[in-house]
Amino acid sequence: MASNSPKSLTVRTYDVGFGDCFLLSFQYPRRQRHVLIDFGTMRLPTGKRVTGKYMNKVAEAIKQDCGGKLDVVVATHRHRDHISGFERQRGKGPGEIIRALKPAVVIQPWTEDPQAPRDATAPWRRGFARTLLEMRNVAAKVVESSRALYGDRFRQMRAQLAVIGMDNIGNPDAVANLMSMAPNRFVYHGSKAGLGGILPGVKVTVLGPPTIAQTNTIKTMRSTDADEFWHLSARFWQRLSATKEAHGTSARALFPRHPVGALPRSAGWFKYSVMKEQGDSLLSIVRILDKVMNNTSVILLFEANGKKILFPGDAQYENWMYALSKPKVRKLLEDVNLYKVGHHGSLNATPKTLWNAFARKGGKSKQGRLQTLLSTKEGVHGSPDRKTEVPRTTLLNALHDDSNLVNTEKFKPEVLREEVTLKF
Amino acid sequence: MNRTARSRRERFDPVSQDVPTRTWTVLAQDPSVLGPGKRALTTRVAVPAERLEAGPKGHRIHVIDFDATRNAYYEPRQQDFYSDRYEKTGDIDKLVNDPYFHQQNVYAIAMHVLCVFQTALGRPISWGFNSQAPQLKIAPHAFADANAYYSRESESLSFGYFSGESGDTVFTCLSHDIVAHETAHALLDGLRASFLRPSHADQAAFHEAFADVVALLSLLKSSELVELGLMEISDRRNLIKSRDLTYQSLRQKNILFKLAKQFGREMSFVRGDALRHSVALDPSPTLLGQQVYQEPHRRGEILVAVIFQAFLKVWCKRLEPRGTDRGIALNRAVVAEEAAAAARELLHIAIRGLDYLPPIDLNFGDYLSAMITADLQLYPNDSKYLYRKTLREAFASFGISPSGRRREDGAWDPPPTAEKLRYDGLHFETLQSDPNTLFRFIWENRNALGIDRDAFTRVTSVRPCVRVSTDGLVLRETVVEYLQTLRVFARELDRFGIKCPEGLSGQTFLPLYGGGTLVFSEFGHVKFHIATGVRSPRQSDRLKSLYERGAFNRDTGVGTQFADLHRRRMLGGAGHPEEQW
Repeated sequence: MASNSPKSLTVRTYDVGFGDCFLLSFQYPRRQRHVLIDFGTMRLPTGKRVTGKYMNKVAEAIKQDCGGKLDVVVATHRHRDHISGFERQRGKGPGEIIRALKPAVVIQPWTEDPQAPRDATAPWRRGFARTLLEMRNVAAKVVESSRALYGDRFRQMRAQLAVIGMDNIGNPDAVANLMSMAPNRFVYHGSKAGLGGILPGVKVTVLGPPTIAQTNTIKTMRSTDADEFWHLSARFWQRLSATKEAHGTSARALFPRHPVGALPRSAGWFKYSVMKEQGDSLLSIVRILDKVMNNTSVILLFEANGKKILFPGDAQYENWMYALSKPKVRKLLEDVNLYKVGHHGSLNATPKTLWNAFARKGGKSKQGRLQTLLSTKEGVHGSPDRKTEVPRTTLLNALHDDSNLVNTEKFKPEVLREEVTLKF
Repeated sequence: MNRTARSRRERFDPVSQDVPTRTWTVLAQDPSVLGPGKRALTTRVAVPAERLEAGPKGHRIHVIDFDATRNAYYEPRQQDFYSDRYEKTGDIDKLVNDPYFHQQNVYAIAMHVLCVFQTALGRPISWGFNSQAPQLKIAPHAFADANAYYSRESESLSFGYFSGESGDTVFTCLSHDIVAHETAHALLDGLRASFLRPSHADQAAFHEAFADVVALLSLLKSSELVELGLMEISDRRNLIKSRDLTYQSLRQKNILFKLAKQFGREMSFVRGDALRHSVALDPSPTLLGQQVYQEPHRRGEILVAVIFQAFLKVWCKRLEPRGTDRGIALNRAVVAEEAAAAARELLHIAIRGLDYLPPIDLNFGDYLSAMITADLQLYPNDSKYLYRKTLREAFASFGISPSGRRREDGAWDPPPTAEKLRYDGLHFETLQSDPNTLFRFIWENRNALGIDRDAFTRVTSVRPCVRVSTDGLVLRETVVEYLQTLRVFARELDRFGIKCPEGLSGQTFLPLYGGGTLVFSEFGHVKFHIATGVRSPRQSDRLKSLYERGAFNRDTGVGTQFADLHRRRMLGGAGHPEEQW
């Protein structure tokens, strides 16, 4: 083993409820190097014996665990459940604590690159960046629109809209902190992670997200009119955003001079049908934008002394598709030792092609059994009736049966984090 | 309410007492398409002269102008229900800012489309609601969103409104093709409920494609709109040279494509640029096999393109005796009238074809055979405008051949075992109305009709109809549908000669659907039996398509199916269910 290679890796999983927060601590002969991957939550864990602001406590724990110095921060994508912990909240937020740990570099997906919209040679790129921007605007407006769904019968629908909508809003405070706490590096499939100097002896491969051009090489749909598609898509979200702005719950009357009255008794039931449809429609909108945002996730594979650690953020199949289309990548992933379960265990973020390829999964007696980490909270997303619950029961069963699973749902009330160590 | 007000409300349209219809003004397309002098381009459509209440609320359609975004109910007109107030209104802003007009527009277009269907099929048509409710509800300003759709669950059409690129509000209820499209969904669901069941790619595409065909032909049968498109190629005397009226010239000059682009500009956010894509699609027999056209909403564009091509050809054929065959320039109004006639005829053929389709698992070849058969019954002589030949050629140019293979013209064959059929216990009167009588007929003739014995079978509809051709021919038929369901484990599929989709667990318990349409003559004899069995070789394709689209993973309700479909049309495809848990 080379003297400048790490001897072990400790991965800490922090219980942030419905969110992600992991600290990778590489143990070198003389010092440690620390990589923080995501820090955010949408719903805090319940029953924790913690006083004060919970996320600040987690930040303090990170500070303690890394000895007051972070080397790398990875913000896999812009969802609130992955970056809300970076909010500075005017000096009082957890992001202030993380900022003080002075990371050397922040890694984000290429979609966050502020230069992307100005790349005039690739219209789709501008279109895509614009689409993401407009989507975030729409998310904020959807949360507001959901207030029109008043009454008990729409309670569940309102809750769903709030969760997905809030997750997708802009998070400007956290984003500004990430942009300014250290030099940013925006990555895509095949780009260099640029961590060679910080993590000697560790090979870091960026597997995702693919660029639109990369996606188009394998995309079977609309491959001939990608420019037009992204342009139209950006215009669509722009229009939707403008619509929600102009026609919000407190907007002026649609027809100012037209009489507005009470529904005739015979049509009373119809009101609730239309309201439900509006709710369904809003849900379908936020689900679409949620998926697009998940698919901007950075996927990183760390390799050190033959051990492989895979962190895919919330990447869904559309993100994975490009990497998995390459036989070399599929081969590379066969002997992964540690896998962070994608998107809190949702039905579509651990592609079966990927899971089936893991050679180390198997029963308890399996030598060198696959280690998996799942950060999740039940009852926030989806429903068992529709087989969309998060975490998805069938996936959870597979993780239980075929891997050593660390699941934040099973943490005891007094436990803030658990750690797993891999010896190299 | 005082006596004067009441008498005004209850005053009945005097014309309606003598004639069965009244005509109401609607927009020929949408507010972005203006006529000469920037005046509103309107057209008048015939609707039944029925008794109306505030809404308008008639015996088949009830406009309920509730806005869920603002929690507001826009009052309908409380008096003077029957007169068409907008016949002479040329100011488009007045129409756009008047909710009463919006309410009239949706009522009249939807009611007119319903009437066109009833005329074409020769019988009244029910909606497909579980409650058997006679009235379709329409919300012209349902919510602030760039969407419009039919919902079986809500028994309604909902039209959204949204901010256009200019900043003005765009009302989908003012778009003629969108209203016609959504009404067609509702009507098709009433006629063939099983077409919404998950099936292979063609059936998945058919609902949307058929609604687009109805929308496209509804527009083209408005001579005002076609005339507007033709202005570009007409001279100062409103004449169009015959060389500009050939199929090649009309296609190359893209007259209607430009029109579609114009009215699609704002509405493209509602369901993509589908109409424009279809109109511009060049025929190619390889398109259907391409991966991009496996997606239902893209695949449907091919069917629309086929019908559009047939329309152009029939239009040109109709212009020949008018003078194009002798090199004579034609008046623009005449050219537009012939377009309207061609669209009207094709629309009737497209609708009549529905009665000759299998009740489930149809493909585009079935639809071609169905249309040819339908037209052949009513118009045995097609030598004048060659509608059937043109349709066959148009389908062939996109690589689609008729499913009826034995006859040269592509129509369905009569049942090969017709002489073996038993008519015991079948009385003409009950044959026209009673499902149990029809079930007995199926029961007695299972072998002769090749109906699976193991599958659960039920008669789902019995519909007598009387169709009259423009030549005066009266056609009386009774159309009967039965459905079959056989539930099997995936591991058993091999035994039926059906291929199990790769990756599907053998433990999956899945339904195989089949069924048939029996068309009886006026003498009570079977003319056609158009069926697809539960063990049909088509099941392999159907199961593969279903598996790839995730139908075995989770329930797909029909409630807001069209809302999602339109959204996907706009924003691209669905997920990858084979990769999900």
